[in-house]
Amino acid sequence: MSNHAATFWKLRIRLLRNARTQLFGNSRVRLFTMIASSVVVWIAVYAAAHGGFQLLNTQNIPPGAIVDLIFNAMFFTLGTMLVFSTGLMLYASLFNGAETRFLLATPAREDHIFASKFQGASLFSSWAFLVLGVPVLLAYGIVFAAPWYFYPLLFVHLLGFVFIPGSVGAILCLILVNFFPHRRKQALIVLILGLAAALGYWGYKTVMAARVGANNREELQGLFDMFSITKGIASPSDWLSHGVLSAGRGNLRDSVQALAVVWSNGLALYLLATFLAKRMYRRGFNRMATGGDIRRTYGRSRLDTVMEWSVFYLKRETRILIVKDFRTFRREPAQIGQVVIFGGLVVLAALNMRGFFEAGIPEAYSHALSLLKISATGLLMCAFLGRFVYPLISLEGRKFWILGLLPLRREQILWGKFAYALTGSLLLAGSLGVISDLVMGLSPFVVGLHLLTILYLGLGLSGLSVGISACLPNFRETDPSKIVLGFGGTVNMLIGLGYLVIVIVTMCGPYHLSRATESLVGQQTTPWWLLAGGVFLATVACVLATWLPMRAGYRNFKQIEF
Amino acid sequence: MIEFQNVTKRYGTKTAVRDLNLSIPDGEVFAFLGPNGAGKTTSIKMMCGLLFPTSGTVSIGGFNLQTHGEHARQLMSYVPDQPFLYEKLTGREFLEFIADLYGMSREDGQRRMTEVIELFSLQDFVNDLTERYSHGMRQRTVFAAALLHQPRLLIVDEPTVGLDPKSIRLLKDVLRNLAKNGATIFLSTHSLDIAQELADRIGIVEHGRLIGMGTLDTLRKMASIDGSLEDVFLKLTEEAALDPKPEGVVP
Repeated sequence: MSNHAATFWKLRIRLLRNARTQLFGNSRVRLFTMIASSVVVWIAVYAAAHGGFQLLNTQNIPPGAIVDLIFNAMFFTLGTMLVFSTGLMLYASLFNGAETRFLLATPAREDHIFASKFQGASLFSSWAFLVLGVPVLLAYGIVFAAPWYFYPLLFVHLLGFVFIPGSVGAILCLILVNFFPHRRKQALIVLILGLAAALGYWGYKTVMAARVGANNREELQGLFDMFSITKGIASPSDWLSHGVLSAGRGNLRDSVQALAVVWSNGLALYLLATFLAKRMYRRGFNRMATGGDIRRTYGRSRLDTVMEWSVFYLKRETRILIVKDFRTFRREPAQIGQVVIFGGLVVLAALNMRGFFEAGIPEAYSHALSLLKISATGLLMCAFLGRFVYPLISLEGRKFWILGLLPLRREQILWGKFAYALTGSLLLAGSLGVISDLVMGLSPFVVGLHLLTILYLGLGLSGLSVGISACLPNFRETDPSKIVLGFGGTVNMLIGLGYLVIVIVTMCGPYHLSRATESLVGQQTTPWWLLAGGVFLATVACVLATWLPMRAGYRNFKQIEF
Repeated sequence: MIEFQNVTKRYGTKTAVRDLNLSIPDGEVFAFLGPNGAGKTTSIKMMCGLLFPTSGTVSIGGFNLQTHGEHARQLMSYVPDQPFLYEKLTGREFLEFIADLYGMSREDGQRRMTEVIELFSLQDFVNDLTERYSHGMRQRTVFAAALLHQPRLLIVDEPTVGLDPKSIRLLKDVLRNLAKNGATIFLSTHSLDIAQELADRIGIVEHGRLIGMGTLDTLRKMASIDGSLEDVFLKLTEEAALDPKPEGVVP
């Protein structure tokens, strides 16, 4: 039998090399955007961490327990993220892809296919370590003058640690598919929501402990105790934290000992995962493929009726197209799952914020939090429209002749997509916005202001997503995630984010900032005309973001041949 | 080469393949016909080890797919109706990957690559990324990859989809030559003229049951008509449809 491990390495290197050549040759804007956004986040995290460590250093606060706690919490959080991201990526690549159907029909061994996919998934999912973890650790080393070997050891520690959550995610994925083949998606959503709720509750308790703990020694100990789940002899995040900090403090022996523990456990778990893959991967593939009936009965749902009713003002033909798009959306559980998780996180954040409000925090902070919350809702809309609405026109691709032959003006098709995007995003973001504002106990004026902001965002972002996708359709691609990551998708994301910043800064910024300043200095600091001017500017931006791309999109769309 | 012994495959409560017994010797071209949803693709997936039988066994070259799948798959190539290619590999790189996957030596791999590139006329585009290929170019590349390691069994699902008349002619010649040299060809197709022209024996499946198998003459006798394969096929499947076995009951 041939050496498949080497064959898969060669394959991966070739795929990466060809993709890199293409990226440098054809998609420089996308490459620049990816690098620039990573660098900006990296610098921001480094600056924040450097500032924090510098504060500990200059105030002569003993860093030991505090840094230990921060590192433990950080590694625990990143490790938990890695469990789910690696597990989800492995599920998609091992059980859902055309590639695996091809590979499973060749003599390649199941554990070799698994190992190849595991390495790819771990590489892609551990970017958070690079962008979030590494700058914090480098800042620690620089501020506390760590010895030279701290830096190389840091990377070896992180590399070994990645195997632990990655393998746990892989084992969970294999178990889920093998033992819950009929209800795997529901089981996963329940698992993620359960974990999100537990983390939300833990976050809330920690925030409360942190707030009280500033004045009370016992409560401060309570705050430290909140992180006890991340510590202990059986906690990988504690091993990593201990190893990194030992290297930083010049204790090479302890660091290497911890490194050995991290690597040996990581490799042992990886071996267990490959052992299970050898026995369970093909079996799971079979179970998943034959878990249910060949034909599943689909029918009209009440949700379709609600969707059609919500766009009652459109012509019947356009409404039919909208219901078709909605049906496609609701029958894809991964899409629904993403929306539920995003929405759940915003509500959880709002619930946590309510804790602050009830605890009577200064008004200035409450306005900053309120601004943060509406920004998060806007980001959710941006992500939702960019991910689910932007690819709609490109996905018509090979079926475009159906649209082309319909007795409809093409303008109607575009406005239909716009109405679908606007209705969906307003229903989602509007209800989230109102619920979270009410949970936080904000005044009716603020709720109204936020709703108006959401309306402006919905109009502009829908116009951008539909208009730009009609200007730059990609009819060759059938994978929506690849359409989103293409040139047009990147342009849409960048302009959308810019529009989001403009609307938030002009609509909500002046009000919240002026109220926050007033509460601090005790007098009115912002004239009314500045607030009104902000709303006027946002209105102009909204009209331009809606009308210009839709007009350009329509001009291009009506010339498309099929 | 291919042995199905009392194979039944269920999807939940639906039975896709019922008590299938099939034996196909070396060097035979066997055509597997049936209406949509009759169980053809499920049977093929069990032959490749992508699916396991609910009961019964499938063996290739004497190797049970469930216990010695790697050895069985080493003997065969599978060309699905929607073939897979790595978009970011060139056709030549894909062929090299296949050669490595089947454990061919470097010299042997290069020699065979030159042969199949010439055979399927891939020279003009073999160094382009496959994402730029048309359906016909993809299909020809996949056939070249499937024949690279000189399999003893070639399983093909809808062989002529997307091919132009010249390529179809070429493919038919290639399949005939393969069979002449001792390879077994298992064709699943809706194209009855291809089956009639190439197959030594034909199996007709309907609602998961093998309702007829043999040469065209044998099938004509079974259907009691003296027409084309199309007439025979329609007669047998219509008769089978009038006499459906209850769900979940293996005849």
